Amino acid sequence: MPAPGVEFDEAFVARLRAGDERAFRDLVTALHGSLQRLARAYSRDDSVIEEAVQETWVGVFRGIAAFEGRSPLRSWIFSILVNQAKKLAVRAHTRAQREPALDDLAEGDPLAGAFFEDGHWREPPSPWDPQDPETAFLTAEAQEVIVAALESLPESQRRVVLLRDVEGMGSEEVCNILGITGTNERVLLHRGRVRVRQALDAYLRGTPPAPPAPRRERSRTS
Amino acid sequence: MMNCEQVAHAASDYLEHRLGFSARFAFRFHLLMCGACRAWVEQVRHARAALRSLQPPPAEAPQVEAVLGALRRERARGDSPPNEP
Repeated sequence: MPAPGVEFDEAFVARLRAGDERAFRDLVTALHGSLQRLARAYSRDDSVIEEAVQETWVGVFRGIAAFEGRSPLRSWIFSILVNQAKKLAVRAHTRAQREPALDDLAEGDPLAGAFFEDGHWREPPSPWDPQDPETAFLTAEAQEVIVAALESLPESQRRVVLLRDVEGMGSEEVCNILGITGTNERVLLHRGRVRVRQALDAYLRGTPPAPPAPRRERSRTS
Repeated sequence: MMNCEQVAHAASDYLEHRLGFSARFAFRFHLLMCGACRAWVEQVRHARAALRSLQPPPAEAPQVEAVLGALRRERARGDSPPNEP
Protein backbone atom coordinates (compact mmCIF):
# COMPACT_ATOMS: atom_id res chain seq x y z
CA MET A 1 0.00 0.00 0.00
CA PRO A 2 1.47 3.37 -0.96
CA ALA A 3 2.52 5.57 1.90
CA PRO A 4 -0.42 7.69 2.98
CA GLY A 5 -0.35 11.44 2.90
CA VAL A 6 2.83 11.97 0.91
CA GLU A 7 2.83 12.51 -2.83
CA PHE A 8 6.18 11.41 -4.22
CA ASP A 9 5.98 13.68 -7.25
CA GLU A 10 8.64 15.72 -8.99
CA ALA A 11 8.09 18.69 -6.73
CA PHE A 12 8.71 16.47 -3.73
CA VAL A 13 11.93 15.10 -5.27
CA ALA A 14 13.03 18.67 -5.97
CA ARG A 15 12.56 19.52 -2.29
CA LEU A 16 14.65 16.50 -1.33
CA ARG A 17 17.38 17.58 -3.73
CA ALA A 18 17.36 21.02 -2.19
CA GLY A 19 17.97 19.43 1.21
CA ASP A 20 14.53 20.36 2.61
CA GLU A 21 14.48 18.71 6.01
CA ARG A 22 10.68 18.64 6.20
CA ALA A 23 10.59 16.64 3.00
CA PHE A 24 13.12 14.17 4.39
CA ARG A 25 11.10 13.91 7.57
CA ASP A 26 7.94 13.14 5.58
CA LEU A 27 9.80 10.60 3.48
CA VAL A 28 11.32 8.81 6.47
CA THR A 29 8.01 8.83 8.34
CA ALA A 30 6.22 7.38 5.32
CA LEU A 31 8.69 4.65 4.39
CA HIS A 32 10.74 3.68 7.44
CA GLY A 33 8.30 1.00 8.59
CA SER A 34 7.98 -0.49 5.10
CA LEU A 35 11.77 -0.62 4.74
CA GLN A 36 12.16 -2.39 8.07
CA ARG A 37 9.50 -4.88 7.05
CA LEU A 38 11.29 -5.67 3.81
CA ALA A 39 14.67 -5.82 5.54
CA ARG A 40 13.25 -8.49 7.86
CA ALA A 41 12.82 -10.67 4.78
CA TYR A 42 16.62 -10.73 4.48
CA SER A 43 17.74 -11.18 8.05
CA ARG A 44 16.33 -12.00 11.44
CA ASP A 45 19.11 -10.11 13.16
CA ASP A 46 17.73 -6.82 14.51
CA SER A 47 21.08 -5.07 14.28
CA VAL A 48 21.43 -6.07 10.62
CA ILE A 49 17.90 -4.84 9.91
CA GLU A 50 18.49 -1.50 11.60
CA GLU A 51 21.83 -0.99 9.90
CA ALA A 52 20.39 -1.83 6.48
CA VAL A 53 17.62 0.73 6.92
CA GLN A 54 19.96 3.41 8.30
CA GLU A 55 22.42 2.87 5.45
CA THR A 56 19.53 3.08 3.01
CA TRP A 57 18.61 6.54 4.28
CA VAL A 58 22.20 7.70 4.08
CA GLY A 59 22.29 6.30 0.52
CA VAL A 60 19.13 8.18 -0.36
CA PHE A 61 20.56 11.40 1.05
CA ARG A 62 23.84 10.98 -0.82
CA GLY A 63 22.25 9.83 -4.05
CA ILE A 64 19.22 12.07 -4.37
CA ALA A 65 21.13 14.72 -6.37
CA ALA A 66 21.97 12.09 -8.98
CA PHE A 67 18.52 10.46 -8.92
CA GLU A 68 17.16 10.88 -12.42
CA GLY A 69 13.62 9.75 -11.86
CA ARG A 70 13.84 6.93 -14.39
CA SER A 71 12.20 4.70 -11.80
CA PRO A 72 9.70 5.93 -9.21
CA LEU A 73 11.26 7.35 -6.04
CA ARG A 74 9.85 4.54 -3.91
CA SER A 75 11.30 1.87 -6.24
CA TRP A 76 14.69 3.52 -6.14
CA ILE A 77 14.68 3.59 -2.34
CA PHE A 78 13.58 -0.04 -2.06
CA SER A 79 16.38 -1.01 -4.47
CA ILE A 80 18.93 0.68 -2.22
CA LEU A 81 17.51 -1.22 0.74
CA VAL A 82 17.69 -4.56 -1.06
CA ASN A 83 21.33 -3.95 -1.97
CA GLN A 84 22.19 -2.96 1.59
CA ALA A 85 20.27 -5.85 3.11
CA LYS A 86 21.90 -8.42 0.82
CA LYS A 87 25.34 -7.04 1.56
CA LEU A 88 24.83 -6.95 5.31
CA ALA A 89 23.14 -10.34 5.41
CA VAL A 90 26.10 -11.89 3.61
CA ARG A 91 28.48 -10.20 5.99
CA ALA A 92 26.49 -11.43 8.97
CA HIS A 93 26.53 -14.96 7.56
CA THR A 94 22.78 -15.13 7.60
CA ARG A 95 20.93 -16.64 4.71
CA ALA A 96 21.34 -14.36 1.72
CA GLN A 97 19.12 -14.23 -1.29
CA ARG A 98 20.37 -16.06 -4.32
CA GLU A 99 18.95 -16.35 -7.78
CA PRO A 100 17.05 -18.52 -8.50
CA ALA A 101 14.87 -17.55 -5.61
CA LEU A 102 13.12 -20.91 -5.66
CA ASP A 103 15.71 -22.01 -3.12
CA ASP A 104 12.96 -23.13 -0.81
CA LEU A 105 11.52 -25.55 -3.34
CA ALA A 106 11.13 -28.35 -0.83
CA GLU A 107 9.19 -26.31 1.71
CA GLY A 108 8.12 -23.73 -0.81
CA ASP A 109 5.16 -25.19 -2.64
CA PRO A 110 2.09 -25.07 -0.42
CA LEU A 111 0.16 -27.07 -3.03
CA ALA A 112 2.54 -30.04 -2.96
CA GLY A 113 0.52 -33.16 -2.27
CA ALA A 114 -2.84 -31.40 -2.55
CA PHE A 115 -3.97 -33.39 -5.60
CA PHE A 116 -4.57 -36.95 -6.73
CA GLU A 117 -2.58 -38.16 -9.69
CA ASP A 118 -5.45 -37.35 -12.02
CA GLY A 119 -5.31 -33.68 -10.96
CA HIS A 120 -8.39 -33.67 -8.70
CA TRP A 121 -8.34 -32.07 -5.25
CA ARG A 122 -7.66 -34.44 -2.37
CA GLU A 123 -9.59 -32.06 -0.14
CA PRO A 124 -11.68 -29.77 -2.34
CA PRO A 125 -11.90 -26.20 -1.05
CA SER A 126 -15.36 -25.14 0.03
CA PRO A 127 -16.69 -21.58 0.02
CA TRP A 128 -16.05 -19.39 3.06
CA ASP A 129 -18.96 -18.72 5.31
CA PRO A 130 -19.14 -14.95 5.36
CA GLN A 131 -20.35 -13.72 2.03
CA ASP A 132 -18.18 -10.68 2.45
CA PRO A 133 -14.89 -11.93 3.89
CA GLU A 134 -13.09 -8.74 3.02
CA THR A 135 -15.10 -6.93 5.68
CA ALA A 136 -14.33 -9.73 8.12
CA PHE A 137 -10.61 -9.26 7.38
CA LEU A 138 -10.63 -5.64 8.52
CA THR A 139 -10.97 -6.50 12.21
CA ALA A 140 -7.86 -6.10 14.36
CA GLU A 141 -7.88 -9.83 15.04
CA ALA A 142 -7.96 -10.71 11.35
CA GLN A 143 -5.25 -8.18 10.56
CA GLU A 144 -3.03 -9.93 13.11
CA VAL A 145 -3.70 -13.24 11.36
CA ILE A 146 -2.72 -11.71 8.02
CA VAL A 147 0.47 -10.18 9.43
CA ALA A 148 1.39 -13.46 11.12
CA ALA A 149 0.81 -15.36 7.87
CA LEU A 150 2.96 -12.87 5.99
CA GLU A 151 5.77 -13.09 8.52
CA SER A 152 5.77 -16.87 8.44
CA LEU A 153 6.31 -16.99 4.66
CA PRO A 154 9.67 -18.22 3.40
CA GLU A 155 11.81 -15.14 2.83
CA SER A 156 11.86 -15.26 -0.97
CA GLN A 157 8.06 -15.48 -1.06
CA ARG A 158 7.70 -12.76 1.56
CA ARG A 159 9.81 -10.28 -0.43
CA VAL A 160 7.66 -10.71 -3.53
CA VAL A 161 4.33 -10.66 -1.67
CA LEU A 162 5.40 -7.58 0.31
CA LEU A 163 6.30 -5.58 -2.77
CA ARG A 164 3.57 -6.83 -5.12
CA ASP A 165 0.54 -7.06 -2.86
CA VAL A 166 1.26 -5.10 0.31
CA GLU A 167 3.16 -2.22 -1.33
CA GLY A 168 1.15 -2.50 -4.53
CA MET A 169 4.01 -2.39 -7.02
CA GLY A 170 3.96 -3.76 -10.56
CA SER A 171 5.57 -7.00 -11.63
CA GLU A 172 8.40 -5.48 -13.65
CA GLU A 173 9.21 -2.97 -10.94
CA VAL A 174 9.44 -5.76 -8.36
CA CYS A 175 11.66 -7.94 -10.58
CA ASN A 176 14.03 -5.00 -10.96
CA ILE A 177 14.13 -4.25 -7.25
CA LEU A 178 14.67 -7.85 -6.18
CA GLY A 179 16.80 -8.88 -9.14
CA ILE A 180 14.68 -11.92 -9.98
CA THR A 181 13.15 -13.20 -13.20
CA GLY A 182 9.51 -12.76 -14.11
CA THR A 183 9.00 -16.51 -13.85
CA ASN A 184 10.26 -16.58 -10.29
CA GLU A 185 8.20 -13.57 -9.39
CA ARG A 186 5.02 -15.29 -10.62
CA VAL A 187 5.72 -18.53 -8.79
CA LEU A 188 6.78 -16.89 -5.52
CA LEU A 189 3.83 -14.50 -5.54
CA HIS A 190 1.34 -17.30 -6.02
CA ARG A 191 2.91 -19.53 -3.39
CA GLY A 192 2.89 -16.69 -0.90
CA ARG A 193 -0.75 -15.88 -1.59
CA VAL A 194 -1.70 -19.55 -1.27
CA ARG A 195 -0.13 -19.69 2.18
CA VAL A 196 -1.93 -16.54 3.26
CA ARG A 197 -5.15 -18.03 1.88
CA GLN A 198 -4.51 -21.15 4.01
CA ALA A 199 -4.09 -19.02 7.12
CA LEU A 200 -7.31 -17.11 6.38
CA ASP A 201 -9.12 -20.38 5.70
CA ALA A 202 -8.05 -21.75 9.07
CA TYR A 203 -9.01 -18.46 10.76
CA LEU A 204 -12.50 -18.35 9.24
CA ARG A 205 -13.13 -22.00 10.03
CA GLY A 206 -11.87 -21.56 13.56
CA THR A 207 -9.14 -24.15 13.23
CA PRO A 208 -5.60 -23.34 14.29
CA PRO A 209 -3.32 -22.91 11.28
CA ALA A 210 -0.70 -25.53 10.64
CA PRO A 211 2.26 -24.31 12.66
CA PRO A 212 4.97 -22.86 10.45
CA ALA A 213 8.62 -23.32 11.20
CA PRO A 214 9.55 -21.26 14.26
CA ARG A 215 10.27 -17.70 13.26
CA ARG A 216 11.16 -14.44 14.89
CA GLU A 217 9.39 -13.97 18.16
CA ARG A 218 6.81 -11.31 17.36
CA SER A 219 4.12 -12.29 19.79
CA ARG A 220 3.10 -9.80 22.41
CA THR A 221 0.54 -12.08 23.97
CA SER A 222 2.97 -14.10 26.02
CA MET B 1 -8.94 -28.70 -20.86
CA MET B 2 -7.43 -27.78 -17.52
CA ASN B 3 -7.73 -29.93 -14.43
CA CYS B 4 -8.09 -28.74 -10.83
CA GLU B 5 -4.36 -28.89 -10.18
CA GLN B 6 -3.55 -26.72 -13.18
CA VAL B 7 -6.28 -24.25 -12.27
CA ALA B 8 -5.07 -24.07 -8.66
CA HIS B 9 -1.55 -23.25 -9.81
CA ALA B 10 -2.67 -20.72 -12.39
CA ALA B 11 -5.03 -18.77 -10.12
CA SER B 12 -2.70 -15.81 -9.55
CA ASP B 13 -1.81 -15.63 -13.23
CA TYR B 14 -5.54 -15.53 -13.95
CA LEU B 15 -6.12 -12.79 -11.39
CA GLU B 16 -3.20 -10.79 -12.77
CA HIS B 17 -4.46 -11.18 -16.35
CA ARG B 18 -1.31 -13.06 -17.30
CA LEU B 19 -2.98 -16.00 -19.06
CA GLY B 20 -3.10 -16.04 -22.82
CA PHE B 21 -6.40 -16.24 -24.65
CA SER B 22 -6.70 -20.02 -24.88
CA ALA B 23 -5.45 -20.64 -21.32
CA ARG B 24 -7.89 -18.07 -20.02
CA PHE B 25 -10.70 -19.73 -21.91
CA ALA B 26 -9.77 -23.18 -20.53
CA PHE B 27 -9.48 -21.72 -17.03
CA ARG B 28 -12.93 -20.13 -17.14
CA PHE B 29 -14.45 -23.20 -18.70
CA HIS B 30 -13.13 -25.28 -15.80
CA LEU B 31 -14.54 -22.80 -13.28
CA LEU B 32 -17.99 -23.12 -14.87
CA MET B 33 -17.99 -26.81 -14.03
CA CYS B 34 -16.07 -26.91 -10.76
CA GLY B 35 -17.36 -25.37 -7.53
CA ALA B 36 -14.21 -26.26 -5.58
CA CYS B 37 -12.01 -24.33 -8.00
CA ARG B 38 -14.44 -21.40 -8.02
CA ALA B 39 -14.11 -21.26 -4.24
CA TRP B 40 -10.33 -21.53 -4.57
CA VAL B 41 -9.96 -18.66 -7.01
CA GLU B 42 -12.26 -16.46 -4.93
CA GLN B 43 -10.22 -17.22 -1.82
CA VAL B 44 -6.91 -16.44 -3.51
CA ARG B 45 -8.47 -13.19 -4.65
CA HIS B 46 -9.55 -12.45 -1.08
CA ALA B 47 -6.06 -13.26 0.19
CA ARG B 48 -4.65 -10.71 -2.26
CA ALA B 49 -7.20 -8.14 -1.07
CA ALA B 50 -6.35 -8.89 2.56
CA LEU B 51 -2.66 -8.29 1.87
CA ARG B 52 -3.46 -5.07 0.05
CA SER B 53 -5.41 -3.88 3.08
CA LEU B 54 -2.37 -3.99 5.37
CA GLN B 55 -1.10 -0.61 6.51
CA PRO B 56 2.63 0.06 6.67
CA PRO B 57 3.94 -0.32 10.21
CA PRO B 58 4.13 3.18 11.64
CA ALA B 59 7.58 4.68 12.02
CA GLU B 60 8.23 5.49 15.66
CA ALA B 61 9.22 9.07 16.42
CA PRO B 62 12.60 8.17 17.99
CA GLN B 63 13.50 6.17 14.89
CA VAL B 64 12.63 9.06 12.61
CA GLU B 65 14.69 11.42 14.79
CA ALA B 66 17.63 9.01 14.71
CA VAL B 67 17.56 8.94 10.92
CA LEU B 68 17.29 12.71 10.64
CA GLY B 69 20.16 13.06 13.10
CA ALA B 70 22.29 10.79 10.95
CA LEU B 71 21.39 12.82 7.87
CA ARG B 72 22.33 16.06 9.63
CA ARG B 73 25.71 14.58 10.51
CA GLU B 74 26.07 13.47 6.93
CA ARG B 75 25.29 16.96 5.74
CA ALA B 76 27.72 18.52 8.19
CA ARG B 77 30.50 16.41 6.70
CA GLY B 78 29.90 17.61 3.16
CA ASP B 79 27.95 20.21 1.34
CA SER B 80 24.27 19.78 0.94
CA PRO B 81 22.96 18.22 -1.13
CA PRO B 82 26.06 16.10 -1.11
CA ASN B 83 26.35 14.88 -4.65
CA GLU B 84 26.11 18.24 -6.32
CA PRO B 85 29.28 19.57 -7.91
